[in-house]
Amino acid sequence: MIALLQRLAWSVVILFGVSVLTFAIAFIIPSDPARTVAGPKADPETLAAIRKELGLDQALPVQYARYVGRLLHGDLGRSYLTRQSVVQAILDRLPATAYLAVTSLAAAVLIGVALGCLTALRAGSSTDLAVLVGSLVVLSFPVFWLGMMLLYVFAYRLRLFPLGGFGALNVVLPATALALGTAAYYTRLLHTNLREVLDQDYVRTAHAKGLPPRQVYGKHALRNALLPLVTLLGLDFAGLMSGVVLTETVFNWPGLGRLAVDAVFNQDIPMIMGTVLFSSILVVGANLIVDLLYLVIDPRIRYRQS
Amino acid sequence: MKGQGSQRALAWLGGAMILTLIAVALAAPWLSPFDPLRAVADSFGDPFAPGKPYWLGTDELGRDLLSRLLYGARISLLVAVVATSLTLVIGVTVGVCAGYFGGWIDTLLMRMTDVVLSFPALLLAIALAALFQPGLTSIFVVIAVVSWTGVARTLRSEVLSLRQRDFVAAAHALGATPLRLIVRHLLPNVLPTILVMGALSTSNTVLLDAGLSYLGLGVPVPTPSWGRMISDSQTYYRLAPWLMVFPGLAIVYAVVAFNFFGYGLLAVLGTRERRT
Repeated sequence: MIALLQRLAWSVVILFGVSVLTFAIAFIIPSDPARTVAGPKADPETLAAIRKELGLDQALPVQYARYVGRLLHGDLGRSYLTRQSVVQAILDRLPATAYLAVTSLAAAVLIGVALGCLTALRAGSSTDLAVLVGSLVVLSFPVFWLGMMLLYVFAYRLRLFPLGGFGALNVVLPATALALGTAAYYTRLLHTNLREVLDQDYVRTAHAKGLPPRQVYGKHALRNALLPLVTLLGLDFAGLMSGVVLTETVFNWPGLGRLAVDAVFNQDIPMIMGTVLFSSILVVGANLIVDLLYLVIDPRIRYRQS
Repeated sequence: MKGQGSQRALAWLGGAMILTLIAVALAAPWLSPFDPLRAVADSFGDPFAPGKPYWLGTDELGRDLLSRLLYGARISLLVAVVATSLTLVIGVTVGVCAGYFGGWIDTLLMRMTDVVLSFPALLLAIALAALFQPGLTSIFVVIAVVSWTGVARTLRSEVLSLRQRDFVAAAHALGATPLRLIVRHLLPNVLPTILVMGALSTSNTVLLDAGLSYLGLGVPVPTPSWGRMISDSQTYYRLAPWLMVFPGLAIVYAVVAFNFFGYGLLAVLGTRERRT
């Protein structure tokens, strides 16, 4: 229980830091936000009025206090460009991103675990090397380039998948582009972990007492080898969001990443701040969930703390 | 052991690939058959396929792709070296200070690291890139600002364990100042780690730079950059897939080189440490 509260307090501290940083970023942006709203031909009076309306004439700490106050009410401001509520825009785009991210994460875990197990059972240093080299090469692909290659081969040449759009068939290529790097990483990790676990005494004991191999691998070895993977899922979440930004741009996927990229090009500061802040809240949340999950699945941590 | 030998070979291979890349980048003016910035072929809007004398084809503006790729190696390497050095300077400083001084300094620095880590790197990078004037300097700074966290964490834990060792206590007892202790005693011991982190950060930097260029936030045109070439090829990829394939392979080559070197070195140094 104490561990849980500590973990929650920690998340709050991080979120505070995140809000300070996003606020700082927004304030350093050199262009004049009022001018972006009013357009290049606006006269000084209009500009002053807009500045006042947006609170840009106040002192920095006041602006920050107001900003946090609004944040706590779930208000991220309005787009300078379309005057749409930022929270609304994010919520509109969230399902598409979640769809893409969950599909690709599921694919990455499935491929990674399957390949990791298969290669670990074929013990031998040449397999080790092949897994290491193969995963390093796949990890080196720029995700946007991988996406374009998949589009060219499977959508344009072979016509197996649609070139763009949104739907069940349309998600396959972007999710694959996003998943391959992560899958390669998980494959190597699980391979190494399993090789180590299979050398442990308790696995030998399990074999010796006559358990069927299925049970030894599935129940004894795999469970322990999978633990570090769970931590990584949380840590990788930030990396996944980075990949999402590029993948959505390549495939014109109507998600958060596209929203952020468009906002950057329009110098739409509330929208940039909103998407950046929102995605880091997602990251902090994902890490919190993973830590709590860890308390559930690894009894050693619970015992140590009580 | 056979496994260790092959990892050593991997490090050598990566090293050789890096040296080749550096040689190609330096020799770009002599290796390039054409001017990378000028239209040399009459292929405006209708790129030539690879063949003689344009070995990798031409782009939609009639420029020779091979020459552009060779010159692109220069800009990629420049960004890789400078941005990674900046990353290492920030990361090593933060990590060593946190590990050595401990206490509230450690808490503050590590909390800062956690805050930066909770931003998706690319998203933070494009938000930052949007506020600086586009140019090389801003790319260096943006990449360093989003990438130093991993280095800081690794160095911190390394220094934490070194601090328990007798030679640090001895130096301390002899009255060494913190600065002298860090520079003369701690840094030489973490140098192998810094080398490995440097190689791995470089592959990250190349990918991040390519991503920024792809989004149009990298080196301004007309400087040839691999990421930008890929995004420019998007309009033509059905007609001229080579405009997308070759710059991508160039990026993969560079990233693979630094990954091989870094991971190979990591494995070799890891086993050496375990033996001693």
